[in-house]
Amino acid sequence: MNASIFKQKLLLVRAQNGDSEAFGEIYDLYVDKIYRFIFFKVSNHETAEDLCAEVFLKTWQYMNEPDKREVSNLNALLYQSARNIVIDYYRTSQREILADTESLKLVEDSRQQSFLEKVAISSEIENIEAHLRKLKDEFREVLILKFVDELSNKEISKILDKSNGATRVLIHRALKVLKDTIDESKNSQSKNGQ
Amino acid sequence: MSQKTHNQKMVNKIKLLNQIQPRKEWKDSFRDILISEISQDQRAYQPATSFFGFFSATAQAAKFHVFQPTVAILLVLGLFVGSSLVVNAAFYSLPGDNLYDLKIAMEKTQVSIIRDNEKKAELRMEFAKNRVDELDKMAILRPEDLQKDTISEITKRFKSDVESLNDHINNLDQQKKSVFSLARAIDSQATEFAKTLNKNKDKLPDNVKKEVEKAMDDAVNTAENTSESAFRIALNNYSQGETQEEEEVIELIQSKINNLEQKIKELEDGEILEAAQKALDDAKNSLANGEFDLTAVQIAQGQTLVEQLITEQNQAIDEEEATSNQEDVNLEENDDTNTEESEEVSDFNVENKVEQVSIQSNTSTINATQETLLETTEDIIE
Repeated sequence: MNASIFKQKLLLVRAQNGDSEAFGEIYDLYVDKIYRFIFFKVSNHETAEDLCAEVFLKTWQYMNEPDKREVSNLNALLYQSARNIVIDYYRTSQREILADTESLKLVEDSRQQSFLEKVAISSEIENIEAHLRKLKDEFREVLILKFVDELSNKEISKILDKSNGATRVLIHRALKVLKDTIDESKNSQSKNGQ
Repeated sequence: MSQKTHNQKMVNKIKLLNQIQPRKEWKDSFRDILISEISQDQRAYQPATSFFGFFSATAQAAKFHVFQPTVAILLVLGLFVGSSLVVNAAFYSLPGDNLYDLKIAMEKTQVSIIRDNEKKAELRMEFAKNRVDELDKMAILRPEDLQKDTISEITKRFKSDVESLNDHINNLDQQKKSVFSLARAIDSQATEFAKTLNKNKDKLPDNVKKEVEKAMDDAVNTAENTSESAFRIALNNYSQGETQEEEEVIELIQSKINNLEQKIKELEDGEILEAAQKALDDAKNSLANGEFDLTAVQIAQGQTLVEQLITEQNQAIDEEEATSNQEDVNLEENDDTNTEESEEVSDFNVENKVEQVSIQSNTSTINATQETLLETTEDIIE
């Protein structure tokens, strides 16, 4: 077991015993990832913040319920909780699953980058984000988990509640669809340019 | 380019998305709130008294005091003593203040950690009321800051509070008596909010007024729809023989009738208004006969008609404004292109005037001749 996994297991045990500081460390480890995961499912940053907050509060409540079940996989628990909360959000408020592309106001503070590099990267991000938002939710989700959060297929399969094989196929298909979407957009741009 | 390289390039681009992060101030403030809230649940956890435990606690405390004094005070005073300057300052903060984000975060956390929908709904109602108060205070204390962004922010939050309230009401145990009081409170909040907004919208610059007005109408409509949901649930409870007192039901329905009557008074005459007025009269009669369900239906009919009329009247105003704007634009364009033409026209007018003067002088000559003829004729007769 590597140090990071061991540390997370330890944090999980402490948090399940009601240690709020341990849960604070879990928050530090996961907040960016969970926020990002939610951000790609909703249409704006504010909603992503609200739902992300709910994920951590509910996860704590779940871990510390009187008749709690033992949690063995923190990663899966947090992402699954995020998925359920987003589903609830759309169900209760009867909102439509996002379709719009909110321009990104992010690219936080990378001081080492030159201004031009930053602009170029920001534009790349907006570009890829726009294409990702055109995909089906399950494709977008699996690509984020795999390539942005860099989770293993095994970890992803636990979060999505699918077999390893099915997860692998899903990633492959998602990549292909993304590629087609990008190609299609390039073709239509070049046609318009002619 | 090979397929593999192409895919790798695409994957590299996707990886850039890991730069998407939450705002740092949100991340930090929510962390503090999270820790403070869950610390209250720490009954089960008794850390061992050891050097490590002591060190860890001290380090944590130092971290709070050195790096996050606001939070330390909030934690120590706010949560364990019950009140603090920071909590108070945050509580009284207004949009644009440093502590306003903390106030909003505290509100969200309060709702998140409560499971009972009735309490959640009550809190949301309180927060919606906070938005109304904030708007009022801003108008009195800092009218210069009451710009489009501020009003939009307050309006958006009010709408969001009311939407959440609606969700909680729909999830509420339908038997609860509180639906009744909530329905009445939402009504009064919606009216209050509309009044406060109307009172303060004159302070906005003209170019943003329209946009803000739309957002305001939207927020007030959301509140009214929420009130409608609560009203239906409450009435349904009563029909099913729940413990509601009849006076309360009548009072609630009467307040709905009064609202409708007020709206009808503010609108211009027309066929739709007559229909709405009829629905209102029918509702009053049904209420007098004790037919509450029928009254509710007739009130709803009246409200739908009123909304339809408001939409139509607004559209007519929009069209009128658009036409008038277009005319202004056309006039401006014509001013430039018709300068030469207008000079010609003015020459033509001068010529016309000369002709008119000449005609007038001819006419007076004729009149004079006629008078002379008449005098001559009279002389001959004599």
